Amino acid sequence: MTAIYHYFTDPILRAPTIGSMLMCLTAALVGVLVFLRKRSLLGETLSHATYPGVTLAVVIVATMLSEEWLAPFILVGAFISSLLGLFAVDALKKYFNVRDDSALCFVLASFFGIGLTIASRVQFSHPQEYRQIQSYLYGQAATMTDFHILLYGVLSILVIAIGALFYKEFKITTFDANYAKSLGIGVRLFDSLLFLLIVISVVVGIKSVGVVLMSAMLIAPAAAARQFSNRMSRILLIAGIIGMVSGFLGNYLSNEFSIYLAESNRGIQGGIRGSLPTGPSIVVVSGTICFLSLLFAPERGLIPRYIRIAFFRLRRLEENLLKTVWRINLDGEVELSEILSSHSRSKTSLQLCLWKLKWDGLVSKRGKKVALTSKGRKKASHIVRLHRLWEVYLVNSLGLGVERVHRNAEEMEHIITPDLEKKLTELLEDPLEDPHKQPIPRNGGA
Amino acid sequence: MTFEPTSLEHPCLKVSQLTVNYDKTPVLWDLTLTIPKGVLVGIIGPNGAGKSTFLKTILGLIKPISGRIEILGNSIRKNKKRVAYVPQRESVDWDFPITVLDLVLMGLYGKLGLCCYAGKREREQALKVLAKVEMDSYAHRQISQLSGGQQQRAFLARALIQDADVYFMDEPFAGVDITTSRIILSIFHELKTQGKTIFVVHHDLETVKNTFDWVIMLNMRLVVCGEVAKVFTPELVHRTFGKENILLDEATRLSQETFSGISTNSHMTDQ
Repeated sequence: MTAIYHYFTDPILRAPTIGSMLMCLTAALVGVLVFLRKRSLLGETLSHATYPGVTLAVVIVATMLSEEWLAPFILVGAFISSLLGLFAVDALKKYFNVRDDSALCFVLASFFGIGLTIASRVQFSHPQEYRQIQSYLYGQAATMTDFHILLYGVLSILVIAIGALFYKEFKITTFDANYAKSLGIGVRLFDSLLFLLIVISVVVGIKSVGVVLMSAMLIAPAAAARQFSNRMSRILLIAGIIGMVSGFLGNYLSNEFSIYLAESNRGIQGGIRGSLPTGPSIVVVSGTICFLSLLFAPERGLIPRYIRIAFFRLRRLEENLLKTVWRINLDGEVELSEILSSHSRSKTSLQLCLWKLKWDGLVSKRGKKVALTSKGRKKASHIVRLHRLWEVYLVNSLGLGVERVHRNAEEMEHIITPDLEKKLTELLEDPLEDPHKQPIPRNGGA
Repeated sequence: MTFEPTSLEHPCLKVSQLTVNYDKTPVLWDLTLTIPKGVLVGIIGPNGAGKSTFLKTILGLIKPISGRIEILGNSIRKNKKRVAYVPQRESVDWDFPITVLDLVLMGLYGKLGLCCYAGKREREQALKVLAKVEMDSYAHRQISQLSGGQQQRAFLARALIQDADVYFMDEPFAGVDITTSRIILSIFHELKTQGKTIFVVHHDLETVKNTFDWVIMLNMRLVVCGEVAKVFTPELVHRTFGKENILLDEATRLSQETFSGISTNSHMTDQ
């Protein structure tokens, strides 16, 4: 095990770790804007569009210049190539009437294809450069140096500074571009600026995560963060944190797993060799965070939603059981079998529900007989009151037929809040009878 | 039938020979009209008549192919701070992660300028306009929780905070509840007593007479523009919405197809 702080101090580990974290932070923040604009595919297209630039840069440096030119040349090559991709998308839409999604897919595929073609051309003539080019497909964080930290640090600060400076403008042009224009805000300017930020963050990202996986780092943190907040500023914050955590954990897992494999294979001939590449690990971590957020986020997550539904169903069943006892025998005891036969639910779930009612002190149980407690009587009569009030409302205020209101009231009696009850009582002037001539129980008593 | 616009010394809006194209096809044709200050103007016409386009063109969101537009004696570029726009409610994503207060504060973004953010004073101002549209208790709600009418009121508050001289509203009454339309009408009244001019794209013919002072009746071309009492006649309404326009629609569609190279227009004769 390597201590966590080693990842920030060790001369070999710190470059990939800090570099990846900076890159993920940048991508996550820009990604929130892309995500909110519903332009997620744009990130995918622009990252693939960098590939011809990367391959050309490697080839040019290999044939004409010395090694130290490689990093800046790749950066510039990727930048220009991605920008060309962006222009190509715009041109396709403007002059060829191609729809946005088709244009994006076309540019993605064709630019990537060009890159692959150039790469395969140099595969045998320049095998070493070919390996370099290949490493940009899925990223290679391990070869990062302190120079990369500096470079990415500057670019990240640039992106964050621009984002913070024009936060308000990015917000309004994303939400309502026409209105922003009517205020005199340069919508085109800020759109171009945002595209520039996307291109920069993509160019920064391909070194560690790679061309193919880059767009995940734009979208996954944003999608995860959206689950936790309804405020844009907080979504940006959460996405940034998720991005950095993914960047760190990706490096951590990749390194620890490689060490583990090396240790367990020591001295074994033909043992499992291999390592966990950093770029894909980062993407897997952020993808996992995103997936877990979709499932478990307190408000929007799938599981909490299902749990809330289940709790509502349980409460509804409890209330219906109370009503059944109330209807059969308000004051005395009711045979258990009679209650069970009047509901179509399974016997166990009804038993469970009765047990819960007893626990809450709403019913008392003696042998096979059940009776309402005074608390239970109050509650049951209140449910009946809501049911009948709602029926009066449907008939008197909305003009629905008397015979058609019962079903709807069966649902609404579990939903009406005290506030709504008060409003209904006032509107209907506290009626005494429902449309079926049944008495409406008074509030607060049976 | 033509109506001379009342002689106006300092009109609110002066449009002359305005033509707007989408691609090569006109959607608004040679509009010339003058509107005085301090009136409530209804813009009416059938679907696709170019009402929203007209509004957007005046606001400088769409570039016309020809014509001149003057607002309060100047071009819209110089007068952006004096106009406020209420877009159609459906034009935005209401699931966007902002609160009602944030939405209203957007109305101040033009005045705040670059790199400045809304502070306490702006917040209080926003709460005040929200109270005007009876939405102050919703200030900290997320906008996705609003009903249609509440969304419309939030949009209205965002325009009110701009404290403009001329208001342009695109279908503010579309799909709203009675409370909301009552509030909108009372805001209209208040703005008018302050001498402000309000342009409203409207589709309910029944309410035109009681709501507006002036009316612009459009159907790609201008049918008529004038005081409601004088020009809102059954005959002119019929001309705006009537069947005569179908031919124009057909011709426009053909022209659209021809210019975009889809139809082979020269062989149409044998149909």
